Amino acid sequence: MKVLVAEDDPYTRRGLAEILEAEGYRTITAKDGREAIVLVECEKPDFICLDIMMPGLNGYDVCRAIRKQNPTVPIIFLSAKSEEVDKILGLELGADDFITKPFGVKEVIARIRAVTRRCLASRPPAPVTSFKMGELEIRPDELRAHRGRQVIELSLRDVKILELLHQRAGKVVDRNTFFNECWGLEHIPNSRTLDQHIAQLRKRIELDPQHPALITTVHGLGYRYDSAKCQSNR
Amino acid sequence: MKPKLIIIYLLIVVVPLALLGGLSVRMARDEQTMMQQRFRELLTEQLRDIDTTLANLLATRERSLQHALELPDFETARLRELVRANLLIRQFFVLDPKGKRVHPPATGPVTATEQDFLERAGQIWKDQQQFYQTSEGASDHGWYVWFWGNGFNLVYWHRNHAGSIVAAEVDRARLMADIVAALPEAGAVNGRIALADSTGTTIYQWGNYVPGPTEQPQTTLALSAPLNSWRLSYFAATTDFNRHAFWPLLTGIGAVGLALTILAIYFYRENTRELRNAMQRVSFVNQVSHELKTPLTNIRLYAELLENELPKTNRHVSVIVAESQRLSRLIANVLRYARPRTLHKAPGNVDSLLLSVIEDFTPALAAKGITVQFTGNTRTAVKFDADALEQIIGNLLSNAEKYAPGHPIEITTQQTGNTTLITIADHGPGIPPGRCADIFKPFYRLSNQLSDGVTGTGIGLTIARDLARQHGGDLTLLPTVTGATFQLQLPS
Amino acid sequence: MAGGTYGVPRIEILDHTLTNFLQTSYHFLTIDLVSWCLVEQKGNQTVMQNKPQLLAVLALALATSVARAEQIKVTTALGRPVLLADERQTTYLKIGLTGFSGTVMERRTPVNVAIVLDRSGSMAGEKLRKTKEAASLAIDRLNSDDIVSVIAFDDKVQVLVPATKVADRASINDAIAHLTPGGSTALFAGVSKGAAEVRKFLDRQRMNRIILLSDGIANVGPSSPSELGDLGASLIKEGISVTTIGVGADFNEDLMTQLARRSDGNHGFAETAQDIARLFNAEFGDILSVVAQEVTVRVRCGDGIRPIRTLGREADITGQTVITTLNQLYANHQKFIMLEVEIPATADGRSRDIASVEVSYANMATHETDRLRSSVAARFTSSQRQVLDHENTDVMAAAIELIAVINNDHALSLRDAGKINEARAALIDNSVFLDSNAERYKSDKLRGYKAENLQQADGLSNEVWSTTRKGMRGGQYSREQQQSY
Repeated sequence: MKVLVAEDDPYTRRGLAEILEAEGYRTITAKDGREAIVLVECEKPDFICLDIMMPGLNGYDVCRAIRKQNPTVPIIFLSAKSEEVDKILGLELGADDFITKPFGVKEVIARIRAVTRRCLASRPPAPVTSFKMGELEIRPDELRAHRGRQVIELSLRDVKILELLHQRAGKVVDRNTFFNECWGLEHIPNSRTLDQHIAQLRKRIELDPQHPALITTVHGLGYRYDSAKCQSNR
Repeated sequence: MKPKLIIIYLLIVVVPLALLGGLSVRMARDEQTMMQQRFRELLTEQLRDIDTTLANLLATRERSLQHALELPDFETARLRELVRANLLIRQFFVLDPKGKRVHPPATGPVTATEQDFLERAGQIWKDQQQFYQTSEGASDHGWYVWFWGNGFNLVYWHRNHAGSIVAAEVDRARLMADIVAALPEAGAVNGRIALADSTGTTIYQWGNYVPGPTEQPQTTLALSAPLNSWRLSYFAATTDFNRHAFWPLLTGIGAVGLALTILAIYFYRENTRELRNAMQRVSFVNQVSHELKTPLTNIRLYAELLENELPKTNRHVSVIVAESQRLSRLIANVLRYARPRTLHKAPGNVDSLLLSVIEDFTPALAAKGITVQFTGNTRTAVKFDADALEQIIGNLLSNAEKYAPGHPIEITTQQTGNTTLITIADHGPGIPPGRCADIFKPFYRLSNQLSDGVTGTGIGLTIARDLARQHGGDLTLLPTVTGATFQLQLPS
Repeated sequence: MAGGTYGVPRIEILDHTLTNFLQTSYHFLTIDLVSWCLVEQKGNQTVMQNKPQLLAVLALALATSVARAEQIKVTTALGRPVLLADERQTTYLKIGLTGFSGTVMERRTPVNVAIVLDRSGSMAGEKLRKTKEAASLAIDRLNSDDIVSVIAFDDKVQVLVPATKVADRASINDAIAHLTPGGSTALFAGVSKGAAEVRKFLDRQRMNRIILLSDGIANVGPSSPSELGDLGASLIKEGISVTTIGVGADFNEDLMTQLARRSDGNHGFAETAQDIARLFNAEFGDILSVVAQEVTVRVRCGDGIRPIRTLGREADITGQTVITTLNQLYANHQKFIMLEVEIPATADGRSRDIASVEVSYANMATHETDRLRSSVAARFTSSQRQVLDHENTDVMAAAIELIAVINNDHALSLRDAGKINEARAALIDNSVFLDSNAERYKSDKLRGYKAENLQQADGLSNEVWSTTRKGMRGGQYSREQQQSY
């Protein structure tokens, strides 16, 4: 999924881009309203994070412009001037959400995931169906995994990784494949990135992160998911 | 501009102006009346002068008549000759000391004019007493006036040394002509003076002014005796004064009105200056806060990113994160207080939000030795503004952090009917009984002494309650034995 | 200003004659014996005569008649000097006063005239223009000895030219030319102011006159004929007469004629604006020819003779005495008093003294008061023939004329009462009366008046009555006063 981040402050912009990248989104950035409009036109992102207070064209105007072209693309406003964000204005402009500054990482992730869910839900073709890995039911359209009653939030990348492993169940998925599938062509992460990510993922979905059952490390090659059947076979 | 202000300013300007206007109109009117009065007096003076002229004329006539009446005898032929020759005398009569008429002769022929005279003056013969009584002047000479038909008749009489009354009837036409001759001619005055006889018909008039058909004279004066049935009337235009007074008056009031308006405008501007200054300050504060927001956003963002990268046990980063969070809350509070924004309610999970907040606070609270016990019992989604709720909870936890260190906090949620209740209880010193209402007041702090080690702006609870109420709920302090327990109600 | 007699009255004409004689004789004696010329004094004129002295003296001696060249001529005559005997009857006594020729005078009587003009709104236009012209023209006939004043009135009075000697004609004419029409009509006031102006230079040696010109009804101040008449009566006592000229069809002719009558002035009716000049001129002609003023006529009727009335003029009749005054006499012009007297039955062959007349007046030529006497007697006969033969046609015609005036006035009253038919009948009767008498007395005047009456009989309709009435009044007045125009 592609996300446009329009924000004039460079640190905030890069910070947000990093968070989104970590989540597994392809991120493009714009530093002012005009650039944003052009990029929306060219790149056609899946959703947009829009700062309101930008030099030149402000977020509202950009929103209106974007809406003229595309009435459905989700837009999240990053509002610094909280008191001006009226419900009416927001509704009128068709924003999907607001994040007020200063925001925390968790807040951002939560909102983005929520928007992604909506995107996935509304998007044709047929929504991706859920699949199981062991007792874990992964619902890609929800960006969640369920184990019984437990609900685990997943990032997009998490979902992609799990999907990949699930698809090649029993087979080793090498690093490059991961990079290609889950990180996109722009990124050339090092292997540490992948390992870190897998480690983080394990912490969340494994019953016992130290002794992972779902994602098995294959040293030097990559990782592998063994289905229960496979596991029981070992 | 507020309607109340408008009313006040109107009163400041309009009322004095109206008063002033009323008073000056009154004064102008009074002055006009006075001036009219004076004007009339002036005119009356003029009429008196004319009367004096006429009185002098009559006096001269009187003297000449007196002279003419000094007769050695009353021979009829002589008397007739006198009548014939004397301009003034129309007819003559003589009464002897006993009152018997000597001339015109009681016996013997009388001329036609004498006959006419006898008829005219009939009442004198009938009632001579009346004649003596009503005669004016001293007891031995005078004028006598009587009316016969539509004419006014004038007689000058004189009692001679023998006691006979000798009287001459003055030719009225002659007298009128003499009077007219003595009066000024056409254009002598700017008004119109008219002399009218006893029937009210004008004998003679002069002056440049032409009165309207129904116009009343400014003043009238009856002539002095014996012509006191005649009167002089003075007609003149009167509207002059008003106009003279009008323009200065108008300009005067206008000037005062202008001054008052300027004053009112000045006061208004002064007043609104306060407002404007306040607004300026507010917008300055806003401005500053917004300025602060951006770097703060970055600090917090990067601090959190950093936190992810570093091992969890790194305290430094958590401090940065916690403090940046605190700073955020502070700014949010200030901004909220300065300019409360409208709520943006969306259905959400109260418990999960609470958990998230608690999680944020945990490091800071832990540093103060505070543990949080959370029991979430909400089932249904509640419509609330997440930021607002965050702020409320944040403020409450912040207070607990400040005032109740070293004691645990219990946070519970429950839903009954249409209400969601969130209770936050601490075990600190609590609120002194008299201050339960005060604590919600803006800028009120239980402890004002910095040495207490407690910082704060005093607006946390104010904002929290306002936000709660904006939701349609409320934030209340529950009575407890120990510590402080706040309860937040939200409509579901 | 009391009293009205003039100077110290000289008494007998004899005295006067004697003085004249002596004066003449003195001149005669001083004449140069060489030339043998006689210088006769005729007033102030010197006439050379080459007659023998004797004749001249005789001529002078014969000048004992009452009529001297510089005295008015008084004639007394009865209509019927021969009366029927044994019958109580009435007859007419005419006392004629004729002014002497003005040429006798060194200079004519200077004039003190006030011209009082109506400038009310109704005078606007032609009338005022003509009036102004006429006034200016008339003033041109005055000389620097004369005093003139011009007064204009509407509802107020303005003295345009205060009484002044006629020196600066330009400014006088200028003031007149600037006269503009105005408001209503204060006639009484106008006349009063006019009188005031005349009084400024009032002088018995002058002819003091007010000329009033008006076209309208007086409506400010006293406005009735009797009031104006009273004013006139008082003015004449001062020696001021008022001549009234009425213009158009709207003035009050009764008022105007009363004012003129009581002050012994003239009255003229200017039917159109054109007539104004003619009347002004004629009036000035009169003014400039005054030879005698303050004429008082006393008639003492003889025993048994009863004076009944005077025709035409007003007179004071008390017992046997009739007293009348006239303000002035004009050169070569006769005014008369017609007295109707009742004569008791007298036997045939007897004669009676009917009346003796005394006339006193101020002589403008000599500046003295003259007293003239005359008397008249009648004879009685039983012969009707004689009576008729001796009828004085002049007196009778004059009397008839005056009676006709009375008839004319009666007709006027009828018409005033709305009785048009009766009025017409009266006028026609009057014309018949005049006609028969005109024949009898061979009088052109009577014929003329007859024609007037007939004309007036046709002028009784509502549209023209106003004008006709003025004509009637004017005609009556002119005859009653023996006006020269």
